[in-house]
Amino acid sequence: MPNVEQLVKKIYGETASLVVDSCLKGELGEEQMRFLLNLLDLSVVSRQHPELFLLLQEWMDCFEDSETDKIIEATLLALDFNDQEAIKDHMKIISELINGRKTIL
Amino acid sequence: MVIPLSFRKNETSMEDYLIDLESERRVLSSMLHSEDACIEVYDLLSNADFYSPRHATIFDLAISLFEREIRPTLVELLKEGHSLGVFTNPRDIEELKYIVEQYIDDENIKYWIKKVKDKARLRKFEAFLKRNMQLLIEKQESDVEQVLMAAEEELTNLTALEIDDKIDSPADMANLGYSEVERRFLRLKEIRELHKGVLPLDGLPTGFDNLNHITLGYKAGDLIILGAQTGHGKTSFALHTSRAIAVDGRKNLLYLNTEMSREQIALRWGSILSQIDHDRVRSGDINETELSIILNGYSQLRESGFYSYPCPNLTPEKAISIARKFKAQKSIEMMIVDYVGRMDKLDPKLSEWQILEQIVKTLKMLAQNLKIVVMCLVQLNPDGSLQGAKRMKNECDLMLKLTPISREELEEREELKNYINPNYYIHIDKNRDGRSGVRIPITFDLQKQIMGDAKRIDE
Repeated sequence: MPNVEQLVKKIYGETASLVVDSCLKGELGEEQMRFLLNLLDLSVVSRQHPELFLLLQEWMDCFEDSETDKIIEATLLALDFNDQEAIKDHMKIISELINGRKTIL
Repeated sequence: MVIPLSFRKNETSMEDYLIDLESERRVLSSMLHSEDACIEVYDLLSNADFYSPRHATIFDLAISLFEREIRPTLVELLKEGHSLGVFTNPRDIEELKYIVEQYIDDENIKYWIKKVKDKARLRKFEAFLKRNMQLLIEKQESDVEQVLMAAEEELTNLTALEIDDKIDSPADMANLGYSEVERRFLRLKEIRELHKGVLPLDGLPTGFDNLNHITLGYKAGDLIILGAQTGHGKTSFALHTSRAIAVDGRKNLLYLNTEMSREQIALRWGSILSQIDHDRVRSGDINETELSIILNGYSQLRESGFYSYPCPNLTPEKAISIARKFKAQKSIEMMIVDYVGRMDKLDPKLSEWQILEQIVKTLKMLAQNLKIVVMCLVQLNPDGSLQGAKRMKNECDLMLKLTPISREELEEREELKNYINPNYYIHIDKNRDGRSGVRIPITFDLQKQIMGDAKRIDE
């Protein structure tokens, strides 16, 4: 039975190839592919910004393909994963957008 | 002529013998999982060692990321490959995914590298056999002696020598000799005409005009040993050298310190670059003008090529690994080890001088292989002698000792009276390329951590 570390590596490999495969098949755009791959490295390799994943979960829970959702998506796709400060700033914006919508609802 | 049947009937097993895709995958996989593996692979393999063209491409991508200081994870490799148009079909991605799953433990990397390398050598041997077989078929009238000699030379290169090794033929040696003499002739001409007699350096600046004049600078491949007693300026000398090379010369330099913290090293730079007493910098006892002078000093450091690596548990192996990494990623031209006495012993049974000898040998090899200057600082005994000095001296290209000038000497030696406040000597104990046995008087301001040539009164 594989240990946890090996299992994580396997899931990491599977997920990365699934993302690129989807892009090659035209199911994902170039920008979306890059974002998802960066997100994968953030969670498995650098293990930073766990709050970003909670935020994404929060967004998915109230996702309804509205105009706000499109703004959130655009904000996420514009994220520079090499700029730690920018990640924090973008998370703040996304958080405000999600909370703003919750207030309206 | 037909290829012998004995060769053809075993074609499958021959292929197995010449190709080892599993080892190639393991090596690539380890590169995607560990930086240490990247350092090892970077040094020992090239894309030509891989049989599979796809593996060679993945290797190139990973190395290119590593050189740009991007950790070559699967994701980074996919991004890079995608943007370069290398991965265009799902089979490429499948192969890469399969490679990532062939992970190995870091300590086994050398084993897998050797397997890849050995197979590459065997394939070269096979190509050699095929080529020579073809030669026999096509040129049956060739001079036998000549054919055999050429084959022997090629075979020797495959067995005894590494790919990079080269035997100089008489013509090579004559060409090299002439070009060296011609270069020196033109340089001297230039000195006379343009530089008005001031010698330009062959290597990196030493930070002392008189030492530059005698050594013509620290040259790539050189091992320099600097000895001083405790508290007599080893680190100051190292940082003075760093200033000349990395701050003033803007060359990249790696400084390994085994006993000082990051903060201590950073604070030392504060006084070196501002010329404000170190005690005052350290305690914060400065005014606002001085603070702005210090800030200005640090802005020089920011633009410099000084890379510091405080490393209390430094071993020779670790020093090699760090040097390789910085050579690959930062193109360092010099490494300073401050100091070797503090490096960890790998074998507690060995005595102190044996350890030092081993370390010095390793550092010399490192300097030559990476074509960088390596300076190592060693501690002198209270009587000014050096433990294992003879063996160390054999290994190094330049041996310097930093010793204080005693009050008696200052009074007795007439020559010293021609200088303004000389308080230390740099003694050139060995100089492979020039004069040795020379003592250069310098001024060492302990408070400001500044060194320099002692000025002559008539200057």
